[in-house]
Amino acid sequence: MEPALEISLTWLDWTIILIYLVAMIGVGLFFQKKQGSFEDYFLASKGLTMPLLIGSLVSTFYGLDTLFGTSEIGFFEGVTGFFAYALPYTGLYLLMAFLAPRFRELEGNTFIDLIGKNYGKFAQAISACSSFFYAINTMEMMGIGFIFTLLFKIPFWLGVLIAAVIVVTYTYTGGLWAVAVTDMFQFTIMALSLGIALLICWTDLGGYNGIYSGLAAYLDADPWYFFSPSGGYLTAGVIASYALTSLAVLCEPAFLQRIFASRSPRDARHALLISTPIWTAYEFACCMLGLAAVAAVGLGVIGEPHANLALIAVVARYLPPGLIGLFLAGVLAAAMSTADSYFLVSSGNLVYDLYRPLFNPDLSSEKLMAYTRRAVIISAVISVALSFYFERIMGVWVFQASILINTVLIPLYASVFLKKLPKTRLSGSLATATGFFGTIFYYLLISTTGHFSEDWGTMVLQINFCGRSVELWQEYGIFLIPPFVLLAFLIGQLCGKEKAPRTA
Amino acid sequence: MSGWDLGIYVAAAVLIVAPLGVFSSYLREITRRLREDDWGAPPPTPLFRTGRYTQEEKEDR
Repeated sequence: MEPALEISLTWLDWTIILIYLVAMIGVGLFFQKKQGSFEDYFLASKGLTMPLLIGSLVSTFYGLDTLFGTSEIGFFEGVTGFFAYALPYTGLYLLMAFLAPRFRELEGNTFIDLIGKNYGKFAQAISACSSFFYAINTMEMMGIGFIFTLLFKIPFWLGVLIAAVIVVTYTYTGGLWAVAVTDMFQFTIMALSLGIALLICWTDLGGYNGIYSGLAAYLDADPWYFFSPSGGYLTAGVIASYALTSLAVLCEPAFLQRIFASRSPRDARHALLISTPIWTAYEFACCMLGLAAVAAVGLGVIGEPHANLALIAVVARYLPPGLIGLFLAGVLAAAMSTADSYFLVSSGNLVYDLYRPLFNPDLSSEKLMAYTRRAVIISAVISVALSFYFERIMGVWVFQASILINTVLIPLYASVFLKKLPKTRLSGSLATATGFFGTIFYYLLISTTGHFSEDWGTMVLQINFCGRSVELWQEYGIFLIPPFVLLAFLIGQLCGKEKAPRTA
Repeated sequence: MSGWDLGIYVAAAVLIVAPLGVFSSYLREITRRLREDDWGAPPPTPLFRTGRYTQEEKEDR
């Protein structure tokens, strides 16, 4: 993978980028001696206060998929990218702000813990596997490798390896404290640099009027749909299936890890309430910069970039030296803050949620921490290996979101919010198994018997249903499988005899 | 100036002002933690849901 974009950097830009990278490793080494137990390492001693939570939540949840993905949609379809894809997430963040205190009040270190206590080891193991699949960092590792290739003119594989070594170093040594403190810097850099870039690019392109002229010149037609919330060529079904991926917010492992690590339920709720407008502004900025890039091409200011490089292309054209370095450090920050969090989450899935309950329930806290550290390296190796294997990263993301939502959403929320309902082990086992294996089966079915649609850019299977021809998209798994999961849960409740202890 | 221009200025303001505000309150906290070498946490407060607060939380507020 070779980047098709040239960016010239001054010594000031280089200095900012190098200081940023060295500082990240420095933070990890500082926290190396501060970890005494698993709770210190994995949950920052349950002591994250509101500012640290805001920094960590915002930077973790917004990675390169938002930066490049939302701007790519803005580049093709205009503001639909914000209204159709981003706003459902805003609604879910607000909802989560009111649900988060309930999670924090429960006895548990991970949401898999809660599933295990309510439904037993089988449901716990399946849920841990789905969370592990979700937390594999393929997309971020590919993104960071790509940026290193762009900056240092090195091969893609070397960029991925260097990036992995830096992120693993501070995650391995410092645990969640190091991740949260580095996230704080990363949050500040990525939000500030994007805000400044948005202001400068939009103003220099002549504001709304200038950009409208640029879009008209690019299309050689009235560019009305770029500013229409429901414009573009997307159908309601397509928008709905992408918007449904926002349900991942409700069971997002890194999200919930921070809620469990918060100092109090109040800190968690306030942090989410303050983070929501920042997330929304971030999505809006990415979308509008993608749209601004089209106008810049139309006005002849930049050459036509690849759509997912549109944001970097327009920003690199307008930002002065120093600020370009800050912006690129911000791009790296967006990727690294997500990667470090998922390395930690997936290592916890392997050791705390899988190995400990199944093979060694009496594992001491110190050993738990030591094994989790080693599992960070295992997670990194798997992520790096997969980043060389996959070509289409968006397909990976939809699969990851689907498998997590389908497997854990219903049993988890039943265990947390239906406290008075006596739950059977069979209900959790059937629901998690249906969600997990059903998702894998559906994706295998579509990818082996379907065809790749050039028009829609996804795998599609044509079937006959009641005499009508129906198209099944790979993305539809996210709303086709949950009804079966709910049915499996209800059957388990009716037929299951063994009631799990009501701990949550 | 159109509504879209206004939206851009609001979004840019949020992205510039919010991190500076959050970072300054983080600096206050991290300075205290470094001074006291405090990387632990007070116990969780189960009274939250009832609307009552512990003495420590009252002092925080």
